[in-house]
Amino acid sequence: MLYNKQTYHAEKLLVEWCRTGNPVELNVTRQDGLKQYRRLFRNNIHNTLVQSFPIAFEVLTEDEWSQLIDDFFATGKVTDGRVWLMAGNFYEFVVVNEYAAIFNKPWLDDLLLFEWVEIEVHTMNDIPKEHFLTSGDLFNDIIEINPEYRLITLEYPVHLYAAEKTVEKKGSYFLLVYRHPENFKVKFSNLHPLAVVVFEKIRLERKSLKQIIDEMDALQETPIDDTQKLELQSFVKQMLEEKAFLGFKSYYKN
Amino acid sequence: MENKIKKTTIVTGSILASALTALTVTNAEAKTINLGSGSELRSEIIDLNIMSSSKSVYEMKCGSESMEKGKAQKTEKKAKEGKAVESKCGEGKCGEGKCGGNAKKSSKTTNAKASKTESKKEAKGKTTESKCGQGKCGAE
Repeated sequence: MLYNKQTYHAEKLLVEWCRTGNPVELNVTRQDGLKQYRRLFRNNIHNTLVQSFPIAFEVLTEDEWSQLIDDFFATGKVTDGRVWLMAGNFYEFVVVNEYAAIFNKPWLDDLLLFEWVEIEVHTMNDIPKEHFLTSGDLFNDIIEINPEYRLITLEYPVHLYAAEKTVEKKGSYFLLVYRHPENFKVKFSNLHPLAVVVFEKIRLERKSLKQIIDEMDALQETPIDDTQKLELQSFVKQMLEEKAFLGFKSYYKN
Repeated sequence: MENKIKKTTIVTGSILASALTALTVTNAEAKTINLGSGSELRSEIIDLNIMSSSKSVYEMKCGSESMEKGKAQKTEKKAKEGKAVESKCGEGKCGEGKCGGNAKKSSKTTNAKASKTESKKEAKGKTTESKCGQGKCGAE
């Protein structure tokens, strides 16, 4: 069938009506029918986002949630045909349009990020892993990190407390979100800043725990004490058990 | 505006810098703790938000064995109902629910507000019911 100007125009009007709810002059269908189109399309957006952001849906008021959905549906940009990516577009839309300030809910951006990251990590592409050894020396060997992760900073600890309670706990929180390489479940760990330093130095500088501790001892005015060293060792051990760290660097010998 | 969005592809070194800064600040919450899987954590956070308590996930994780069992069951249930992640986004729900009951209910209440926003309660019911491919979307 030919896709003529009239069809294009009608489609455009239909889309405008569905997205905004603003009345349009569309004579090719009944007005009652038009209402159903909008309802159906909006429900798709709404339900997908409720599934993606169940905590935000729970903590926002009905009016706030509806406003977000209506505004996003009307003016938000969905950059990809894959439905799961819409959650990321929604998060960006809320941040850019400063709904956290509008609703006087400063934790909103962090809450949406926390929920979006789970989806992102769950559905991210597989990342090739370096060859690694499953046994080694925690202190002296270089650790291979599971590359399927995101490490994010949050100002409000929405991953630890009820959203409203996080206002009084504003600070720097580090959340490691990674995909288990065997069962593919998304796992979360709240990290101590020192653990973050170690994690990042392993990732960026490919150093062993001993090298990192020695380096920090040399740089810091207050060197890392024995308790902290034990905690770091325990951190590495825990991450290895949880598969956030895969194992130890393998050196090929010919 | 754009730089407000915390890109999850973290710029090299920026996290390291904030971690080093955070090291100098005493923060009781700054401890390494395994928070579990997405569905477990989500369930706990939702519970905390419903109670709106100042308890933390740490405290939620403690408790008697029986409570843990109860929670595990609840978690499982919520996980089933829950997020796109678990039910794989994109294969998800058509947004309309099973045709009939709820759909008719909402179509009857097409006044200005109802047509613009489905009620939250109704939406909750729908999200747990509907499955793509089931029910005839749009059929009245």
